[in-house]
Amino acid sequence: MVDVVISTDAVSKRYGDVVALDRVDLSVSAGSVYGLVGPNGAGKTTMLGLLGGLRTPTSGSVHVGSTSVQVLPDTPQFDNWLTGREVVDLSRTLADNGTPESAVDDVLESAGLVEAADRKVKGYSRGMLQRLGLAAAVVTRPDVLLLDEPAAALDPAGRREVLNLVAEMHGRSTVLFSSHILDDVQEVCDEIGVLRRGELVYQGSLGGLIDRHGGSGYTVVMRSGADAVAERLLAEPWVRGTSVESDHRVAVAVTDTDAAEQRLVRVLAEVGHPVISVSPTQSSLEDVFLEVTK
Amino acid sequence: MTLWRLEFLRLWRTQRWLILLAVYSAFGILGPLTARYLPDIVENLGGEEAIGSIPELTAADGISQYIGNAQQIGLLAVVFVAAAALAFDSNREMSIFLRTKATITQIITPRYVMTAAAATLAYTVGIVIAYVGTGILLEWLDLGAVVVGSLLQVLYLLVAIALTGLVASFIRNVPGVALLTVGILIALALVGLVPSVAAWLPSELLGGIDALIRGGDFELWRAVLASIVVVAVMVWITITRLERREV
Repeated sequence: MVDVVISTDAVSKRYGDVVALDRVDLSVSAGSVYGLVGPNGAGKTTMLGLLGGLRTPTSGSVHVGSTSVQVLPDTPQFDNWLTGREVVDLSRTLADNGTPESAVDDVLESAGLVEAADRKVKGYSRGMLQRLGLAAAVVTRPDVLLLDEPAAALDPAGRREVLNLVAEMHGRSTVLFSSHILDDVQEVCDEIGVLRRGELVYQGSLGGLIDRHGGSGYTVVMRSGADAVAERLLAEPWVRGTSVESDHRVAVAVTDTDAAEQRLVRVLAEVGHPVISVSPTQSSLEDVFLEVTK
Repeated sequence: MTLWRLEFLRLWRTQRWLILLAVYSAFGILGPLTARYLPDIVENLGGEEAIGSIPELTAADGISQYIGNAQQIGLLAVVFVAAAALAFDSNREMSIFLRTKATITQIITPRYVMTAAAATLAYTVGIVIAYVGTGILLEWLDLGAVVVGSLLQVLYLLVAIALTGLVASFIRNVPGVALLTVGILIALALVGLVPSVAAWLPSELLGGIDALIRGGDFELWRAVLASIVVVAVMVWITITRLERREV
């Protein structure tokens, strides 16, 4: 039985007539890295605000099984007359959990900010602010870390450092981060939730998402008779759909790869049209994301 | 780094302490000088005819000149410094950083106290300069009257700072908080023109020092009591509202 550290029960949030979240049931396992994905305006920031106690739900309930929760907004900002080291040390002091002062240097080093540590925040780039924000959150040793688009608008090097920091948290903290950068999600997340216009349309593993909404498939090329092949294949329980791309070519989406491997060639033989090739296809995460959130 | 040090650094590194000190000190110097040399200044400016219309200036006017300016420009500076510290929700990202690490009471207590301390220190430096200047140029005034009168002035500054905090719990924008606070203070002063309520208004405190150093007849206990209660109530409402505010 996996411990659930973050959960919401039919949580909704409205801003006037606008429904930002609509009866969302979120469930995040302890120690996991959970990716909350969705297009702009899907409700990701609102959800993080609710989980971080910064906003209150209109209805439903939010449960976060720890008081040690840190929230990192998408564009962290600090009093620009403080140094990076002072920001992290302030965070450490406020956490009041016995974290030694030496931890400040450790997290600054992990964030690649040692050289800039004693400079005023005023001169920091956006990427440096993002890493500083993460360092200030990590130094508190939070049980739950909520990150809002942590790698958005960063250059590749900055993005890499942020993702490494998130990956280092794996198992030590429960990390929930929102993003619309699917490569990032794919790289560091154990589980994902997909929000679309305030609704949670999928929750589970990445593999499960691809199987359920995109999944595996095959492209069948034949001399002729694509319509007849497509129609026959639709009768199979393991076929999710077919798409006739030309009289010679059919795309077949399947729900069960094992069954497809056993049955596809047999069905094609039954139909009797000369087959030139059968090749497997795999939906990309991006294809699935676009499909799920359209 | 504690929240107390953070607030000290806010005043120090932004040099807001210097602005407060400069404003009050400047008026502390100008007050007695104006009282002593106003007739000479007017005469040198060619206003010999106007000299006759200037009332005879006394030592008390040295302090009164300082207080008059402190209550206007000085108060404005205090309100802006207080707004910059207390309207911390004006920057959502900075607000999130603090709100997820400390309670509202922990966040705003140092902000109230450090702002009040800076304002009190600046006022005190100004009144000391004005008092000494008045003593050297005109006449030494009753120190006790100046001290008690100054306590009333400081109490009014506390009211203004608490009001700034209260306004910041309604609106987030720093200039907006400062301007609305000043507007409310002016409105309250106008309400003070109504005799039946004037005695209970904090703005009554402003006339206290003038009355004390001139040996006038006055009764301010109602304004003092009301001010203390108003500060406590405003701080309580501010904390309650900020705790419920979404960011």
